[in-house]
Amino acid sequence: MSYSSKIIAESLQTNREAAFEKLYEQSFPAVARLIHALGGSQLDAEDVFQDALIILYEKVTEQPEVIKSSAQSYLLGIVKHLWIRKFGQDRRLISMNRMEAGIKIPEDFYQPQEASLRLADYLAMAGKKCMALLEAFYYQGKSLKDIATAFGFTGVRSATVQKFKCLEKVRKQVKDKNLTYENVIV
Amino acid sequence: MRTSLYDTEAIENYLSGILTGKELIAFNARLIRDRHFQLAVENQKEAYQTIKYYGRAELRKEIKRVKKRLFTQPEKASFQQKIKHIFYYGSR
Repeated sequence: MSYSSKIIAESLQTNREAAFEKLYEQSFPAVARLIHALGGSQLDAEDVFQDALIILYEKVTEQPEVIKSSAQSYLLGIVKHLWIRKFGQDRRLISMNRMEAGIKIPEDFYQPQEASLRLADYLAMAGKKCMALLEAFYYQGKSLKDIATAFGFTGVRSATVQKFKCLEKVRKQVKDKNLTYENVIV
Repeated sequence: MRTSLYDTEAIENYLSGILTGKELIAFNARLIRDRHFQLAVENQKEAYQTIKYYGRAELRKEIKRVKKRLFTQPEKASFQQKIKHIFYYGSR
């Protein structure tokens, strides 16, 4: 019953929430058993599993062929890495097979929470629709054609123009934020 | 498209490494002499990171909704039991 990366990639594109439900139901018990065995609580298991789902999603979106095993074994592998990083557990206590040892956790996954919190504020300033559009293109990897349909643009060209307009808005927010920040330091 | 949008597009191409030949040379030349342009490149780079964080935050919300459903809906009782067993009675 394993859920291959190709199927995940497809279903995560078409119906993300339903795909996540399936993945959650199928893979969380194994992760829970592992975390319990390592002395973690249910809450710990949920936190680390949810992070692992996000990482899996990003990998599948960027490069589906990277994942050769079942989604469940890949998730378990990510969880092991996250557990070691988060709780500084001795990595010798957690055994990893070759596939698991080869998993790379994105560098930017351990940025301070604060950065992402402030982000949410100024993102709101670019407008909900703009953010949704940018997110659909850059994070979900949707095509401009699909975006044009979903957002009601006349075609790819106008979706492209809108995408760059929105990107400029965010860039301006970044600029303003950085200027304020520099002033504070000086 | 207005001029600035062409710049934004050029910066995007530059950052994703698809500018080549004359275009790349022109871009680099402008980077050296135009401080504002340089700053725009830096800010745009950060803008992509921002969008990524936003995407993650949205995804996290979605996953939490999924979790809530799985742990509350009566038809998911066997899943709920399974998890309860692991943490309350040890696994197996």
